[in-house]
Amino acid sequence: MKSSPEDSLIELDQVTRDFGQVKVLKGISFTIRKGEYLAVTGPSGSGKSTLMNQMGLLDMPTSGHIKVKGQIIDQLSDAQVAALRSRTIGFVFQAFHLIDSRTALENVELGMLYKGLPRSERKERAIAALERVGLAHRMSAYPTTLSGGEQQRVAVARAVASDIDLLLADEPTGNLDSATTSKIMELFDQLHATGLTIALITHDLRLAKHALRNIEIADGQIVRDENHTARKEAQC
Amino acid sequence: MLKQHIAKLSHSPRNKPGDESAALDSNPAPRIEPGDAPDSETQAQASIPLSTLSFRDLLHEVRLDIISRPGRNALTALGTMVGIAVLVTTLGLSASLNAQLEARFDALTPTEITVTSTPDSYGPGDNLPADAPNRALRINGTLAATTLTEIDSTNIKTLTGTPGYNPTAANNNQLAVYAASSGIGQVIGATIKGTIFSDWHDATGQPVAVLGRLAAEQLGITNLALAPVVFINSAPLVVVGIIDQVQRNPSLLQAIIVPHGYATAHLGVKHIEKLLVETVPNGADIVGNQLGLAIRPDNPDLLNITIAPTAEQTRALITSDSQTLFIILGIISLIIGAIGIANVTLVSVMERVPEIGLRRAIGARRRHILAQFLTTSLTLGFIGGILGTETGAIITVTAALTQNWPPTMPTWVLACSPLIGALVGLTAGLPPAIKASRIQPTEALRA
Repeated sequence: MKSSPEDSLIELDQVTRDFGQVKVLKGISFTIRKGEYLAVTGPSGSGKSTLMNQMGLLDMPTSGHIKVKGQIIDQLSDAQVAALRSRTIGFVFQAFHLIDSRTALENVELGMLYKGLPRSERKERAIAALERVGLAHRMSAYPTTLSGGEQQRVAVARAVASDIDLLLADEPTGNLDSATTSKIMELFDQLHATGLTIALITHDLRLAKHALRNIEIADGQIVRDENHTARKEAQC
Repeated sequence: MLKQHIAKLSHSPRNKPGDESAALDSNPAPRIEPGDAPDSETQAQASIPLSTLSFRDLLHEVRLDIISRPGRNALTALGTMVGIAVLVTTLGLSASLNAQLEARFDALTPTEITVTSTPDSYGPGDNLPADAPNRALRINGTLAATTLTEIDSTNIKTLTGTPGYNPTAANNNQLAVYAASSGIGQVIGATIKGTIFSDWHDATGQPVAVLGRLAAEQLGITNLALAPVVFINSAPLVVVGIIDQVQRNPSLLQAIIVPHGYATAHLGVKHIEKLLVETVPNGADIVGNQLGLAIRPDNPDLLNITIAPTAEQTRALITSDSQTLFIILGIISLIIGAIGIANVTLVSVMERVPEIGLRRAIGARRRHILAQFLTTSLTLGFIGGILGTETGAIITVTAALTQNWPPTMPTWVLACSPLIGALVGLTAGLPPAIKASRIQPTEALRA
């Protein structure tokens, strides 16, 4: 588990999160390194989603620290955290969160809207990303005309179109049937094979098997953290 | 190997694979937005380029927002449109009505000029010569002229009607007695039973009289066929006419008018009190300017020339009354429009909570969300403003034409109304936009 600081992408150090009197996270510490394929599992109410919000910089810890690429985020302004989040982490949600009134391509382009890229470049990247998830032919389709699996592929394309470091997927297959689920998981495997760091948050242990590292949480604490494969991290 | 996917997708020189520190440390500082520079923070933190949203991209997003919900946005714009249309219509109709009133008042512009002696002039009574009416009539634009002098009541000892007509009203010397020349009937716009005395009566001081309707009733004189007579200081004067109605100087309805020549000879009148001149419409100013010289070429300053101002004052009064009423109406309808925009924008924000959360997750800052919703409602307000202005203009023209008013629209109304619409949109959109910008991504993204 030890890694050099350069390897460290996101580092949680004794992170707690209370909601009023309820302590949802009770001191979580782990490090996501570049190139990892990680699954966070746990039963409902174990704190998975709260943990995901912490990892995704969507929420601030009650105590403890989060470092992103060596940067302690609680010293940053809200705007800086938003900027860091958008350039570091791509999100995939169970509910896809696509905008129905926009085409697949426009939805993917939207993922890069706030990154200061020229529109032409956003479009090029969006097309490349859709090709990557195998949806180049459905580029101008609207989400309502796409199947669930296709919608989630668009969401994945939106996340990976900009040069993010970590793909954070929250129950990405929760709304999908099993055949579609395995296709989406194949896509994650492929993305990981090309070097993308992936963190899956799921209650489904079959999905977690795709990951090379499993962190299991229960009652706001890590109860298991194991590597399935002694995969040597590439330094590129 | 690491970040191969990026190398494949990225055409940007940013964040080269394997260059771990590059992402944060070597990015050019100028991308930090002004006002957000964290001056008190460390250099490493200051080097984080903040999320940006170019104005062009903002407009593109707003455009997509608007066209993606055509029905609802049309309804939103409709709210402003109605408000602005009512405002424009009311202002336009008020302007048209004023134009119409002005036209009406032009017809009623003063045509009456009063000439009196200036006080302190030498020799009272000599300033207005006896032939003043004739001198006034020589000016082009003069329709009629008359002298008018109220006879001092001390000169009227007794005043009675024909004996036997009205025995109870033996002495009616509280009635005013005026001396006038033959033009009096025309000058005051009188409707007369019988006739006004003539120039000859005046010049030769004939004992004749014209009665105002109320004076005649008081004296018990109703029937000219009976050749009634009034006695002033016991001298009989034949009543030649009764003034039934007047357009001006209604006080004369309660008076007895005798020829100036008679008054000079028998009633102690030594001078002419004033000269009344009636002109063609809009002629009062021009005639008034010439009267002084025409009557007293030797010393026009001895005369005091006054043009009746009543119509102008009445117009100003009516104008301000109607303006206030109309503007209040327009503002009320605008407030209704604003409430509509605020409502629809709020519904839109509630509906788009997940989208707002997503935008925040992919880097949007609060101000980006705020700007997007504000620009959308401002645009809808502006579009509503333009349509409302057009509608209001069309309604104004149609309504004014059906009323035979001259359609009139102040240019500032046409220029400002779309901007007022935009302002309404901006104001109404502000509370929901602030609400949207405060949405936390964690809450918004909960599926």
